[in-house]
Amino acid sequence: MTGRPQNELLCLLRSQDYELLAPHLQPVELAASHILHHAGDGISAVHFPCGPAFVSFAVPVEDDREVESLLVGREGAVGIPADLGPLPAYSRIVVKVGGTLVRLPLRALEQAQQRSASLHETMSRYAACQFAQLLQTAACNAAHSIEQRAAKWIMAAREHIGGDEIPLTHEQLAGMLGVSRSYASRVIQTFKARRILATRRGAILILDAPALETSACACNGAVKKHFREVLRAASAG
Amino acid sequence: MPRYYFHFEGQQPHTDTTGESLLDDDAAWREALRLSRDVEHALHPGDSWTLSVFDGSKPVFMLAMVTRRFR
Repeated sequence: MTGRPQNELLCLLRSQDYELLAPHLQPVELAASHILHHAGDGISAVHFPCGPAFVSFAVPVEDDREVESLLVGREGAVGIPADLGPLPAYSRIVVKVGGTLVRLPLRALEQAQQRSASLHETMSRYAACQFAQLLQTAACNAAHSIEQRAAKWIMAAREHIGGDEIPLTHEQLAGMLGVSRSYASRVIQTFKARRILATRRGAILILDAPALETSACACNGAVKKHFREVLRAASAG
Repeated sequence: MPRYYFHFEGQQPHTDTTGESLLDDDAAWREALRLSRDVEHALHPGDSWTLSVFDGSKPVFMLAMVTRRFR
């Protein structure tokens, strides 16, 4: 889609639906660690990550620890569903990988959805996809090993970034996995010993992507398949 | 706040060079439990591991898992 932002959800909208939103879309450049919403804040705008930008939903657990329970990138949006008025954010929502995000005021999306049933349907389908993503995350966290999940996240990052150098510290990986930094370092050390990864200051280098894929669980693939099935029906309908 | 180090020995040895600033020994214990909770996934029969927790260079706790295969 020429002229549209690099966000897959915006790109799959029909022209009429995109045109309803276009006058209200505002690209913003946000750096990693920028807080989009504090827990409890009313969410008054939707953000569509573009390109490599990633947003993390961080849920506090005891001992000042946070677990990143959802990562949203260019496949989706932050702040959907939008037909209930501003809802309080359940978790802190933070930019994890900086870049361009397209901001859309909630009222503008609500009004556009009232005018277009197909737009409303697409956004509802996306909300269903995000729900599936959370279901898979819950199952993955319960059933799969830390190593499998680490491999999964690093492969997902590789796909998003489009390269083998992943700007991710041990601390950040630990946050994504819900483990201590010590354990994340140990996991990385294990992959280094197997020549699957190497590290550089502040980054992880993938040396053997196929081996990393084999070490990962299949959860990302299952979610992507669901996204394709549910959202393809939206744009074709 | 003291700085605690979590060293693993066994199948996947790991020396913690960065450490973690934690409030006190109780917090370090909880951290050690959390670490040991996840280690089991990578174990094969006959493997063992030891987790040693140090406050700087002073030993604080030791946790160990020993496994055997009998047939």
